[in-house]
Amino acid sequence: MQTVSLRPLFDAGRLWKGNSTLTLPVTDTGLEPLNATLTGGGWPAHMMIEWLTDQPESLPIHCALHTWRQHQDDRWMVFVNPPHTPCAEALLQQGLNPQRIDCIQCADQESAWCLEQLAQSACIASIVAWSAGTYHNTQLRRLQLACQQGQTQLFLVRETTVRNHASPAPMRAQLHQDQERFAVEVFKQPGASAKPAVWIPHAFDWVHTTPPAQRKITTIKTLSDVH
Amino acid sequence: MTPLYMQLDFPELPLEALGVDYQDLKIAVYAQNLVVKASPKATASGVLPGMTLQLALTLCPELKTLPAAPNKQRRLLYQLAHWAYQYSHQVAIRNQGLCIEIARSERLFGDPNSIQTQLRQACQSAARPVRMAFGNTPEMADVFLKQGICPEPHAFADTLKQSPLSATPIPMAQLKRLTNMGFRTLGDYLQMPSRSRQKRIPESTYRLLEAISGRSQTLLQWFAPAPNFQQSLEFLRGLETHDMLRFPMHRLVQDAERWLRQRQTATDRIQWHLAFERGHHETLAVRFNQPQWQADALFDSSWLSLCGRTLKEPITGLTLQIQELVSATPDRRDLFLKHNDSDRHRLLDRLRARLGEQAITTPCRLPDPRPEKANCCNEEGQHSAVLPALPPRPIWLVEPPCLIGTSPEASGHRLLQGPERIESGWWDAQPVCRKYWVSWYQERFAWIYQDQHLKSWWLAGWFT
Repeated sequence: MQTVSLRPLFDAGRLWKGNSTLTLPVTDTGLEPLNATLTGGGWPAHMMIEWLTDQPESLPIHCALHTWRQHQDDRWMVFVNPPHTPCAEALLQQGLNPQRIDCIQCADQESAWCLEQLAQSACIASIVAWSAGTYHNTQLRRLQLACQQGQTQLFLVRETTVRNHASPAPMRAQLHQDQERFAVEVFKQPGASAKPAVWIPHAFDWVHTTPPAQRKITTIKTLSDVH
Repeated sequence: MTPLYMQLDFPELPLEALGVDYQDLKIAVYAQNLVVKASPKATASGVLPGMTLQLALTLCPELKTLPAAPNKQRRLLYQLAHWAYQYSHQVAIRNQGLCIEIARSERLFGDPNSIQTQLRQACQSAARPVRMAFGNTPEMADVFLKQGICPEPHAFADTLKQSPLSATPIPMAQLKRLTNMGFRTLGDYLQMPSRSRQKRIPESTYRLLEAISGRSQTLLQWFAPAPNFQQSLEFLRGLETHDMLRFPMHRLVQDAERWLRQRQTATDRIQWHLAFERGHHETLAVRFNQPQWQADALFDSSWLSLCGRTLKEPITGLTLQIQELVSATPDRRDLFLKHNDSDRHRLLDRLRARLGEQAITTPCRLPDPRPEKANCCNEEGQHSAVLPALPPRPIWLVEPPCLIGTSPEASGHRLLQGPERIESGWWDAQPVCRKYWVSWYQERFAWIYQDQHLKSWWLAGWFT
């Protein structure tokens, strides 16, 4: 009888036991409470990570920018099908180099192919992909393999309705928010079981609320101009 | 150095010029109502050169007949001359074949037999029948070729002596006259004293026989390669699917790679011309992010671009054209980088070929105070300008801005920070005069502005 050793798969990080200590290459999330709940202390660097959210315009980019700020090298970051046009000035203000960020728009039926090409490439570090279309498990498995092959990190933004569907993505998290904070609930990750949501307060310090008097003057002026 | 010529004859040239797939069909080429050349399948059905068309069609009713196309034959010979140019810088197109001077190629390609083997293998890999013969003059090679023999240089004299005069291209009337004079072989002619030969034989025949015997050299018009690459393949049976085009495209890009490599050049754009069955043409331009010369790189992007097109009707001709050339530069490799430049260029080429030219952009900041002009998503990835620090900008810009109404509060926006007045653009007839605010709207920070002329409020962007 032939014996097959699983050791090489364990060593390569392709197979893991639940609740075991893993040494995965990770990238710092930029959010301390979140790092504490993730295996290895960050988002897996060479894997596909699913972000399920009902606020695809705000939460994924918020998390991605925190991560990208911590981990910039000579490779490129990519937005695939972003909901709006990214602002170069804002990227600079966030401490990122816009020249190292590509923005790709593609049709839904092309997005799986496009993501595979990007994930397989050695020159791409991280991808955030928004997609309204659905992915088959085969496509998701191919994307995960491409991430491992190209050593690329892929954040796939999907709707929360797919939470109950099985997925080959090694890490899945749901993002949601209320008025003052947002939550990251990691319900699947390598080497650990599901964790409760981590609540992180929004950083409002950059907003200096204009005194009400000034706002009033502006509003009155506006009204007088209209009449 | 004594010149040594190699004459190449392509027996299937009339058929090959009409379509590379002639071997799969029963086809005959005719001129003046007589069959000039028949494909192997047609020959198996009894169709032979010299036969009248009526007889050929009686023998093989399903025979497809096409008139000879001298222009296409000339174009194909020109392509073959390009191919042969890699073996010698002296290539001439003559007698519906090629004549190559190989004495100076020995240092690079070995002795004549070695060159012959290489040429034969190259023709075999392209499924192209070829006959070859050496000679001290092209005319001598012709005589050997006609007899179907290929003697080595040291055996030229003996073989020539035994060659019948009928193997020479002497007109029939002259040949008969020489036969009556007692000449049967070239040996009979050669053993005759020179003065007597000149006296007894007409001038034109004498010159031809002198050239055949290697005693005089004929001047050849050497082929000069074109500055641009252009090669075509014709198909007798239209190609209906993308997959059917894969092999011909591969063949053309491999020729292009060889052509570019020989010149140490690369190209950043190529053009494919597709000829359709009903006569119309389409052009497919493929652009590369970085000049390329490898067949794989040329093929990848071309194939992805082609797959994005619908083939409305079968394709009967495919041409690859390269007009813009730049010097080839080796890849920059860095010991400390995990990837090299070509990885990214190849990736961008593939993505652009399949998704379109405008699919990939890079955010770029320009020195313009107007936010919509300052944020340029440029495919070329211009360098971001160095500008003074600005107040916080939203990560997403809403393009074009979305109308909110005349009052932000009525639309649910709570003004938090501002105003930031931007009044600019007088120089390009698109002036703006706006006051920007950061507002709170449905649990998110928005960037809105009031147009100071229209007095209306607009949504310009979203913060994270």
